[in-house]
Amino acid sequence: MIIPAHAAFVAETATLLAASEALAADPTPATLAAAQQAWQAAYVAWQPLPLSRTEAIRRTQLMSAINKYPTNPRFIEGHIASDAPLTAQQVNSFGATSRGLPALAYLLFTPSSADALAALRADARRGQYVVAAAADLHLTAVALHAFWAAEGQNYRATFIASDGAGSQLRSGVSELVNAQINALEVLVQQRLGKPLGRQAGGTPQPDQVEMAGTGVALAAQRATIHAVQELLAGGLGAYLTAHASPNPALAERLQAQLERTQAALAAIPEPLEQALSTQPDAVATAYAESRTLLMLYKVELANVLGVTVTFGDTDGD
Amino acid sequence: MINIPRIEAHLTRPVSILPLVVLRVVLGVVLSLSMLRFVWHGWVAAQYGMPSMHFTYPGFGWVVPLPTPLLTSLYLLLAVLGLCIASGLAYRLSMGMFCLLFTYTELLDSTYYLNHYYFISLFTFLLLWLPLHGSAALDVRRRPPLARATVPVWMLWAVQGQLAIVYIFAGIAKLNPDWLLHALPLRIWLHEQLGVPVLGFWLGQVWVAYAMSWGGMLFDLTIPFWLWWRRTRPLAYLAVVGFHALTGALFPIGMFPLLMIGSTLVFFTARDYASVGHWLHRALPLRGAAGAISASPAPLPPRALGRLGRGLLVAGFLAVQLVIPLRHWFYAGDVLWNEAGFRFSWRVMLVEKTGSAMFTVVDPHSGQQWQVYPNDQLTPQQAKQMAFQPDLIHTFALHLARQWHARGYPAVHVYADVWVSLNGRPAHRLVDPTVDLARQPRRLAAPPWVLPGPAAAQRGPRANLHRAIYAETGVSAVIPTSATICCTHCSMRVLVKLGAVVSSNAKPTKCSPSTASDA
Repeated sequence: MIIPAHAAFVAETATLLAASEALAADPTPATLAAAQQAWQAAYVAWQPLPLSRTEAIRRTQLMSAINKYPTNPRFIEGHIASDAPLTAQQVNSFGATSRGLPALAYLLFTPSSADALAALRADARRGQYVVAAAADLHLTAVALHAFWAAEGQNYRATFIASDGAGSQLRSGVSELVNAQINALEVLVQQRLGKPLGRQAGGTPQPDQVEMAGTGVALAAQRATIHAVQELLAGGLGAYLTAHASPNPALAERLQAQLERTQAALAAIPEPLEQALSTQPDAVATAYAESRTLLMLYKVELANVLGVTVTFGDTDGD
Repeated sequence: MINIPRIEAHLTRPVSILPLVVLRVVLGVVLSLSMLRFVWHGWVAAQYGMPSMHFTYPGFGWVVPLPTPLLTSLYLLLAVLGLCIASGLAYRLSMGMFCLLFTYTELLDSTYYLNHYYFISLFTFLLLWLPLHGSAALDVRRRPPLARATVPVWMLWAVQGQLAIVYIFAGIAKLNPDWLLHALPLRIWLHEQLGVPVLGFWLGQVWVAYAMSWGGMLFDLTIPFWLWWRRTRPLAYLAVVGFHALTGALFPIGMFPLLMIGSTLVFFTARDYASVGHWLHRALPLRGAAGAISASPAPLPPRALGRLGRGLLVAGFLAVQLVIPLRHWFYAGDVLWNEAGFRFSWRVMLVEKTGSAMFTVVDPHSGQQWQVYPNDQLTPQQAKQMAFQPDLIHTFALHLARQWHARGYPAVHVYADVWVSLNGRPAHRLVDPTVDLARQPRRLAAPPWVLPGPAAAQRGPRANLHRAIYAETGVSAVIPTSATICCTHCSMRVLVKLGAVVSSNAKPTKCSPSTASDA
């Protein structure tokens, strides 16, 4: 599932690059809408990838270049206002907060589609930045795919070989479970908890919705859960079932909770920013279901597998 | 009638100092390497520099970490002190400073507690009072009167006794149903090792987990005796090396294996060394030490504490350690679950526990609520350890109350939603989520707001009710407060107390007088 997901993301970024070029060549409502849709598709396609963010992937810093949130508008505007050529190579040299999906979201969606279009029409360098950022994103996606693929650096082989190598911290299963727990923690705390105002005294915070204004938050969250479901169905569940443990029904309970979480997210009407005030109970339900799901992964799954829930490497006894 | 002079003569019988000298050299080197390794891994900054708060021990809140550069220097100083110990240079000062400074680092944060760190503190304190620098030491070169070929036998026994305490209590801790009857948690841990070359296939076999569980228990309980007995000593030491090498290879337990392999050398006598060969005599400048078993002890230099005082101090030190590991007997509940009395009791590699904790801070005046995720404020290691240890959960709740007080909310309530899985079982709530932890007193025993664990639910006084519920529902929730449930079997109304395991949509299928009276 991991490598096909990376390939799918590469394909979506290629589509986004083509749409960006069309937009830069002729900024119209139609080309902007096409670029926005391509961005949304790329963002949704991105969601499975953090579930395989192992330590080796982290060290490449490719994922940070793709989705380092939040972006820094001041830096981006500075680059556009400068005289430097705006190419993929140039954007590649920028900091992560001026690149990747968040930077493109800033250029394509904010503060509104009409404003974004007006800005693109007013300054051709803005369109060049969109194209350069999209090209850089695509090249980064290709590099990330190549890192895994057999025809590239073949990290796949290393990853498989690391399973059960005698060190809990480095085993493939351990890293995969940790990455899923991390993604679910982000879902609970950042993607749902923060907009709900759970850390702000209970006052909803629409501006804290991920990629606010793009209308993609819920689709992305469902994509994350879907990817977790696929990992469970694609081997982890069978591994658990074959694993004689005092928690024999865990695979079924994980599956059921994933379905409940997915259903709760699907019950929230788009966009999330609006649902926070119109359907707060639906959002709160999704949050509660996500928390239960996180608990199952972080506590029960990790315990059954003997996985160390941290990337730290301290001693134990 | 107790014959005091005879006992004294027995305890002060001179024996060669060689075992203690070997211990000093090996231990010093291992300690030094251990400290360098800590710095090398960057753990000084990670464990003491990064956290915004520390979980200090009760009564030790005043122990605060030095700035990271100074603390790194302190670890390097500890490494140097280790070498001083090994070479016998300023031995008393080196050992004393090592004990003090190392214990200081351990007191900084209880989430980093490890049994072998505790052992190092105890061991260095004990050795501080013994003349391990009496031979093959730079101190002897500087001050020849310090030289001695023998020590009273009680000194050797004290050191061996300290090691025996570690092993035997580690063995006693393994006398629990999970370890012996279910091979847990070894079954979980070994299953993670299927990819290990050659051994992997065997480690995945359930019977191997049982064999290792029982073998580990028997090893711990008996190895000191096999090491004491001369005829079994060589084989026993090979077992020590094999046991610790295997556990060191399979589990991330750092320097512990090396520490024990090195320390248990103290069970070998000068006679053993002599029988190994003469190379040791040449390697170590032990003038007369190995063969001086029958020689009389050199007079001890004057000390602030007399010989009797020092003997009593060591005896008391060891006697206290016979009680501390068993203190959980005086606390209610399962120590593996509530961890009251878990630390300082040699429960080495005994449980697989994972937890998840979330805190809710409530301002009663405004009605505002904040949910706090520990990983926003703690390091991964702190958050992981805190999530299943009630006293640390309480400490963090008090910390949050202070934080909110500083923000202008002086009387907040703090609640914890904590789920814990023990040895692979389905998760249970650890803490009563309705209890305001900010207003709970600290206590050594398990506090009443710690809910019973899965084992207690299965074998406790409410076993009938719980078994019925388990059978009916497969366990779905823990009710936080008392509730009345109508028994479907006899229509008796049963009050289920705090923390009972119950399903929200099912009733117990049977009841019994014992259940009712318990309620």
